[in-house]
Amino acid sequence: MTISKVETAKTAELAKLSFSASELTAMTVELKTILSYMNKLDELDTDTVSAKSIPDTPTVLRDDTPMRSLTPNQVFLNSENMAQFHFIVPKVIDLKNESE
Amino acid sequence: MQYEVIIGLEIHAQLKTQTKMFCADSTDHSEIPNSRTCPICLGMPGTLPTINKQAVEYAIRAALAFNCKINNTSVFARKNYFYPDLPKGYQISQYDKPLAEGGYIDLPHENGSKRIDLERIHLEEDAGKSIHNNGDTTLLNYNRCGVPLIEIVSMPQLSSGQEAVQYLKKIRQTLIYLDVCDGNMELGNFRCDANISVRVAGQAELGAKVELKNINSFRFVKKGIDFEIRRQTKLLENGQTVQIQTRLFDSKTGQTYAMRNKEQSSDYRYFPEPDLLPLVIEDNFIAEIKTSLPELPEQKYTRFIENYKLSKNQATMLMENRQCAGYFESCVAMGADPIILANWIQGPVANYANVNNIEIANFPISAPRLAGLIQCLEQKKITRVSAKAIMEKMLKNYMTAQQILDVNPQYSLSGDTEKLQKLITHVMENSSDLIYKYHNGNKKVFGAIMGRIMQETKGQSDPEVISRILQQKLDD
Amino acid sequence: MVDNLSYLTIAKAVSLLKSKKLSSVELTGAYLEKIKLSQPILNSYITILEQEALVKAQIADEKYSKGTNGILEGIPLALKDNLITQNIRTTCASKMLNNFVPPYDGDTSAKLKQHGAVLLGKLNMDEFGMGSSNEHSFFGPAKNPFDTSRSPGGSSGGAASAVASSSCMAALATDTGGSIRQPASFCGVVGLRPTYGRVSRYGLVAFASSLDQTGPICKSVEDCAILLDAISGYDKKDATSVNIAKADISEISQNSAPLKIGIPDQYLSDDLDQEVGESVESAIRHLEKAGHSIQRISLPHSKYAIAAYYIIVSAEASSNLARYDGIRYGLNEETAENFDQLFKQNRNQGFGEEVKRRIMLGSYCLSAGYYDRYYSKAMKTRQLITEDFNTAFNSVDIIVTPTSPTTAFKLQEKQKDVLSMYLADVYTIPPNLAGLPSISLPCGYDKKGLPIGLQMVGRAFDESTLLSLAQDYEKKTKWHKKKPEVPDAV
Repeated sequence: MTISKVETAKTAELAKLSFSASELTAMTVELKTILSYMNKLDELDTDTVSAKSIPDTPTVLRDDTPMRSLTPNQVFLNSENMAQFHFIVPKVIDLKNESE
Repeated sequence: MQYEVIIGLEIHAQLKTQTKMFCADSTDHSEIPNSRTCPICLGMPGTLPTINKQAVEYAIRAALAFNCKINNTSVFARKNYFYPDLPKGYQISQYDKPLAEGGYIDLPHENGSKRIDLERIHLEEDAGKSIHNNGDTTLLNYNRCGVPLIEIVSMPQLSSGQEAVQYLKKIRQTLIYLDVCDGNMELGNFRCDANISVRVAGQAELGAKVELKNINSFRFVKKGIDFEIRRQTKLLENGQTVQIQTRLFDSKTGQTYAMRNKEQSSDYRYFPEPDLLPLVIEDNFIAEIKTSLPELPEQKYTRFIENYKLSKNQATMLMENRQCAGYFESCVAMGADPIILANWIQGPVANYANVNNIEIANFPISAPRLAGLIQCLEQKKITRVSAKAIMEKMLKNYMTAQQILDVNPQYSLSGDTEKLQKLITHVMENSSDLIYKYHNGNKKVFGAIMGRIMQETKGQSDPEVISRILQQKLDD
Repeated sequence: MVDNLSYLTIAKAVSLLKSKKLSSVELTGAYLEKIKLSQPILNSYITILEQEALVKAQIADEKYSKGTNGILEGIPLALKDNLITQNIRTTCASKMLNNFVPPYDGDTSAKLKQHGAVLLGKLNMDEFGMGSSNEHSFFGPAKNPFDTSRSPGGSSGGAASAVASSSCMAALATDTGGSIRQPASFCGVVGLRPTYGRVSRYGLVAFASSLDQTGPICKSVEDCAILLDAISGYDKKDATSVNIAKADISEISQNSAPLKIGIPDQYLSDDLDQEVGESVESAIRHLEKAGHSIQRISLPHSKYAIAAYYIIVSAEASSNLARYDGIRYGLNEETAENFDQLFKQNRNQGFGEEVKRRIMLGSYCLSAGYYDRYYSKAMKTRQLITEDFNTAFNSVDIIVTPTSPTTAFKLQEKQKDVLSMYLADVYTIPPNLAGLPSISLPCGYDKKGLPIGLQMVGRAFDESTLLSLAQDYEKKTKWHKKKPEVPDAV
């Protein structure tokens, strides 16, 4: 079982990376090489291995006390794309919610 | 050809915690966008999530109320996908090992009740909000990003739009009772997606599942589901296939339409969240929460009918929300007769609440004072009409009903009516013509005499009282 | 004067500063001078904070006068550029974060400030921690001070080369699969990778969340102990940080009690460079002479460690790097028609080749149909490797291996073969999969004069024993005294 160019393209879409045709070919070859090494794990029988041991002490949880947030200057310190305290992106065409 | 409808609902309810699920930003509403954000919920480099204790408690409350099995160990998982309102590029949710599994609610049904089983309840975080500008841009506000949600997944056992609404209303009311969620669909803190499929009755195979999103009121839930059922049924009747897809509801047309270019099966690449350890909850933590659970809607409903002998209608109205029920019961505890009180709340109190746009529970007369008024009614010290008048006065000051009655004897059915007696005697003396007519068979003039007395009292007195005294005098 | 000053260790410098024989301004000034000379040659730094450092040094001197100094007051340190520093550019050596200025602080940075340290600058590294040669940096490779045609190792190449060339007194860096130890070994300095959970990860820009840890790179074992003490401790902002008492470093300078030392069968592999093997053998004999007992142990699942590791880190990294889309911070090309195009553009432009490769690998290993075969399998393999170590530590106290199969390789040497770089992490990866503490310290030089590193691995949270043995070895040998001759810029 080895990765195909189609799968590479699908994976790129999942990772929001885009490659030119030649880059896609090169990436496929590289992934093939790496994955064939990874396939070493097929030799190992892990059926009887239980999941990582769960700690048996109750989880430490955070108190529900509000703390100060960032100032607007700090929120937008690293982004020039802002309008009236909103971040801006190009129009989203696949809408999760029609309107808010 | 008979068709069978199978509906499953997924509810996302925002939990009423003070802070977000994985960071300490306040969840209070702010008009200023991106003013309730921090490096963690903005997904800045090097930041890490921490679990909100209150959110876990609230989720457990809900799970207990819906009879779920709580998992002592549950695991947070990353749901990976890209969207501008999702800063980290993944949502922290729960996948393989949710907080709670199983559970059920019972819906009233023609033959008693119908049980709807739940599949699971799990914790996750909300995404930010997008506002679509008229131009070519979308604006993003991350204030909501990271607010705690519970996702409640039902088994696909609902069979109509109506049933779906019933289910939603019951879940919502319970969550409000538990004080874990505000349950406001319009404001978006209680959301629902529906999975609808139709198949030929008796067929083993399930029909194609269509997911319906973007329904923000109970009315639209019913409309949307009903439309979808009709649409799918028609397709099948015409020998066509129903496509597995996601559709949105258009409230203007009342129809559903397919989302464009939607990745029909997104690969979320779930894996356990490495920044969080498994959530380990001890039995005694759960037990503590169980003992502090408030009485649930159906328990209260049953109790109201059995203990207070209220009608179904009255019981339903009074337990609309926990605070209203609490108000009712406080009054009863202060000595008010339940049935008279129920009538009174359904009547004058509800009217006042409507007109002044407040909750019944926030009615400005305290339970002890209202109970006092009801007691006066019960003991027949006053009539309904004078009770209304007394209540008007009670709204303007802090006097008890009894105190007001003492100062306004005209409201009293018995007791000191000396002044009124004198006034009536006085009017009668001046109305000998009418009295003569009355005694000669013309009972109708009673009203005219009443009229004169009322005029004299300038409408201050209770007609019932006047009428009784007048009648007495006339009979003498 | 400059040279003498810059060869000080933290321990010595603190005592000189306390007794006012030296001022922090002098000390900091000396390092800044050294940086000016070495930076054009070694490219260890991404950001140099000359003004800020001198200001802080001045404050430190005042504190010494008043007697209100912290334990690291006035000590000039540098941080690897994937450690968040408030209001100071933090790039992770990536074009994606080239201009990123965090409005918040990382735990390590905050602790160092509290203790009064002076920050000289941010150090070069492989982009987002992905690499073993410091060649995958947007700012160009860092160089090895012992031979500038060679790699200083990675991903903390800048840190190791800066410490080795005395361009800072010590550095804080991060280690996921060997990124502190391997560069330390290539540059003849000491690098400590603490137990997972010992040091807070809040402020450590995530590469692989279940493996990343911050640790010191220093000239001496004692300095590593001092910095470990300064930065470790439970942090409630990090749910994976462990609430346990700090390692006791008070007695590590005493002679180490006799220990049982284990040498894993599987680690004397064919790929091990002969001179490296000989140096390590020699070190082991030395330990034996010093009174420790040596025995062979078996870590049978070692050969699966690299495969398991790369699956796990790529998977976690593919998810950790999903936040880099340019909207709230980071590179934003701003010329796309829709958000899908925008994300792709920004990420294509912002990430280097190795990062893209690992994101692709990771996304694939997590994707539907492959999760069980790759990610799930790798996690189970990790369990088996952890159990191997647990068993081994039933009969030994410390495990000793080479740090790396070779000495520093030439720049460009490993670029063609994608896998060869990964395979070189054979000794440093397994202890990390098991979350164990480990240290690399110099144990010799090859014929070319390149440093050779010895790795010691301890039980979880037993950094005391580890540091004790390491210091013992260091005291009795002279390897750490050798300094590279960094050519002058003239």
